[in-house]
Amino acid sequence: MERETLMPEPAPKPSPDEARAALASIEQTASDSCARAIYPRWLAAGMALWGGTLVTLGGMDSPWVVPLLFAGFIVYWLWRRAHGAAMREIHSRGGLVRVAVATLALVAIAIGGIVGRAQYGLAWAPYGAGAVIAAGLFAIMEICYAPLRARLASRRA
Amino acid sequence: MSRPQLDARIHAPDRLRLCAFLAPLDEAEFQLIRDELGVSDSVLSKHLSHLADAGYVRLDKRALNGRQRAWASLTVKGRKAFAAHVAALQQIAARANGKA
Repeated sequence: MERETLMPEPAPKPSPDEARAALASIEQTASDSCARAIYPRWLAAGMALWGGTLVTLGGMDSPWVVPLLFAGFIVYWLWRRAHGAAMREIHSRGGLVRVAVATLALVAIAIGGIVGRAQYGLAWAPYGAGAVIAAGLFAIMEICYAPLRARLASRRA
Repeated sequence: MSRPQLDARIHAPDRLRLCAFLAPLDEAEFQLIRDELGVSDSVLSKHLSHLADAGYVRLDKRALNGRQRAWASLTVKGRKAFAAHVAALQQIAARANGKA
């Protein structure tokens, strides 16, 4: 099949008013996009609870860790497919570094829960680590999206 | 001061809105983009193909509930081109403000 050949497009030369209108259109569309794709608080709370439960069960050597891990990923994947869009979580190298540092901190807490129970006999350690992980994950997600949620709310008002 | 470099492949209003819609996202599904932009399937397909040919958009087809669905996302090249285009528009608008 012969492919359609596109004519080279002339270089655009918008007037200042056209440029301003284009920028306003970009801002509006980007806001609509964020409003459509941002995940709801119940999902953020669910993911935080999932992470905390995984850490608690992991610290207690529960056989439910692996099924719960996969179940969480499957639920998130299905939500994303049904939702039709997903926010871009990492926008820059700085963002990547922040996510890596937060991940390391959360992993350290999870290991602390396991070691606390296994080495020092602290039965509460997995529960404590799980609670800290759940609260930490929810706080991170809220802090990351607070400016965007505020901007979207002010736009709606 | 250098002349701002606008990208002719992005500048058309629908393609500009398409890039603006995809920019904050990891990826978006074809029907969602169509509904949000208020364009027809054929118009959106044409614009997505145009941007994909330029290497600005990546298109993936995946099955959901037994049906093929297309997902679109901006590539690194597309993100850079869109950011440069927005910067050029801001430069034009700012110049006008400076003259006013």
